[in-house]
Amino acid sequence: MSEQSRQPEPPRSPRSDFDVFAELYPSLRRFAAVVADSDVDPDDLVQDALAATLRRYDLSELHAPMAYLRQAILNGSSNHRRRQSRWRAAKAKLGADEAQPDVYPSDIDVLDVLNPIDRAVVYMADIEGSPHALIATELGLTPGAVRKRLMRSRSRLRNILGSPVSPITKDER
Amino acid sequence: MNANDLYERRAERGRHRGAAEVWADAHHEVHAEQSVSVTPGRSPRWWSVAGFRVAFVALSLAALAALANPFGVFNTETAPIAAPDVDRIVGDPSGTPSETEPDTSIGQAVPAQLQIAGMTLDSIYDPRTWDGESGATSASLNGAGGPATLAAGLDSGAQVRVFTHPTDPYGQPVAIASASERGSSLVVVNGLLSQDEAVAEFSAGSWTVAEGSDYVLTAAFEAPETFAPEWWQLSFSDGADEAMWQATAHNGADEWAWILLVADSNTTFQSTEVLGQSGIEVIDTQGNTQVVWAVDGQAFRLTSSLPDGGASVVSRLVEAGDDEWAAAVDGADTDGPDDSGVRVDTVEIPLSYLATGLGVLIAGGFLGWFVYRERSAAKDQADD
Repeated sequence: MSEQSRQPEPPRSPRSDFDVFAELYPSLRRFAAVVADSDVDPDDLVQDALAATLRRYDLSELHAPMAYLRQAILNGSSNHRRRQSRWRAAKAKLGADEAQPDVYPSDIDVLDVLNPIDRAVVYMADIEGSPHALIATELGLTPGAVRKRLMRSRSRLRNILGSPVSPITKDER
Repeated sequence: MNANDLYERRAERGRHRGAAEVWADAHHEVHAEQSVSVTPGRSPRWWSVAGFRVAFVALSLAALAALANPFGVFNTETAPIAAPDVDRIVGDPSGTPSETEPDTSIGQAVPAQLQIAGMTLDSIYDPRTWDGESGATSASLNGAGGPATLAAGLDSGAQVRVFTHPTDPYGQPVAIASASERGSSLVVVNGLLSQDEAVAEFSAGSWTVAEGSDYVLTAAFEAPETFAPEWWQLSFSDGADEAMWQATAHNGADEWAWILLVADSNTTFQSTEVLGQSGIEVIDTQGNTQVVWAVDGQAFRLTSSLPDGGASVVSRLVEAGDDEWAAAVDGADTDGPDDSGVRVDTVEIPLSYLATGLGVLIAGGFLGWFVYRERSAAKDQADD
């Protein structure tokens, strides 16, 4: 979590934590749906991130609750991905037959080729139209890292999809 | 496929629970965690944890008690120290005892002349009479504690003396003292010994044993037998090297020992190790011992009295081939007593201790469960 997003907010007019969350929820939910792997429910991810945050802070205490929650969502998604990877490796070592769950392939699963951070960078840059500096702040990256990830992810998607991600225009925002 | 479209569809995937429900679930989750009671005695989990902790502490205390060894639950094996015996080595390469003194010169290593089992005074022609003018520049003891050098660079005219215990000359520490116009110094091998106990004073050109000292000036080392190994000229000239030799008894007895010698370019052995042996009785402290030892480019087994009254002396060493070396190393006797005198401790925790610990563990858990059940029953009765 970036220091900036954790700084307590100066006193101002009282607003309940729920009000804060309700205002952020639509954006957080979309963000979670993008960065989470296909087998993770977006609302579950948002709930976990919110619970983890509430264990430490009230939302009204946070200077940048959106950034904090987004990072929490991103961390949760990355952790889930790591756990899944370790579990698959362990099963492979044990030689266990991996039970194949019912799979209903969806074309949106194509985005799983990117890791959660890269998906988040592309989403914020090309769908939300956020500037690199803001993406860097919210995701706890450097602007340089954001540029590199963006370039690399766009190239990868271009190779897979045959068409680039079209950055959103100002009129479309 | 359009990436933007994919992203948009992915952003809207899944069942939407809404902000209120997500908030309520998260809030409930946090609240439930924070309201978990940790009041002692309120849950079976608490009692189980408490019981196991008590059992763990009891087990730890039992283990500590075992480590403190109050009941002698550990076996301590102390290997006997190399037995004392003496060979006076004055020989030539032919193996024939000789009284011929080797030529020496400044800086040249002088062959060993006096051996004490487990320690050898070398680089000195005769410790009783040597006065530093024979050309040797240093004196050293090679003993169980490793080589100790006395007065690095002895002065011309220095006198060197060996002091031992009169009744147990080789089982007790041995001291070598030197004195010259520049002062005196002392080296003690094979044990701790204060200077006052060891030697006395050197004044007016003569030595005086300290009053009340248990030590005497050793003036009569006598070797029951002597020998000179065939490899008298053995040297290691190309830096540190190692070799293995097979020592055999000169009396034809079927006795042998493998000896690993590690030497540097000065032909000073850095270490010796008996890799394996057969037919050799090792070791007691009463002199009924045969000891393989190596010093200053020579390795041999010292004279000893065998338990049956016989005697044997190693008269030659035969360099071993690679195959023999490998076989000896593979078959090294590692089960017998350690003839280096190193104390070997073995730890054995009796089965009864483990059983006791396990019993305490189970009893602790059961006690916790029982107390909880009784308390619950009493509470239910009170509620009724």
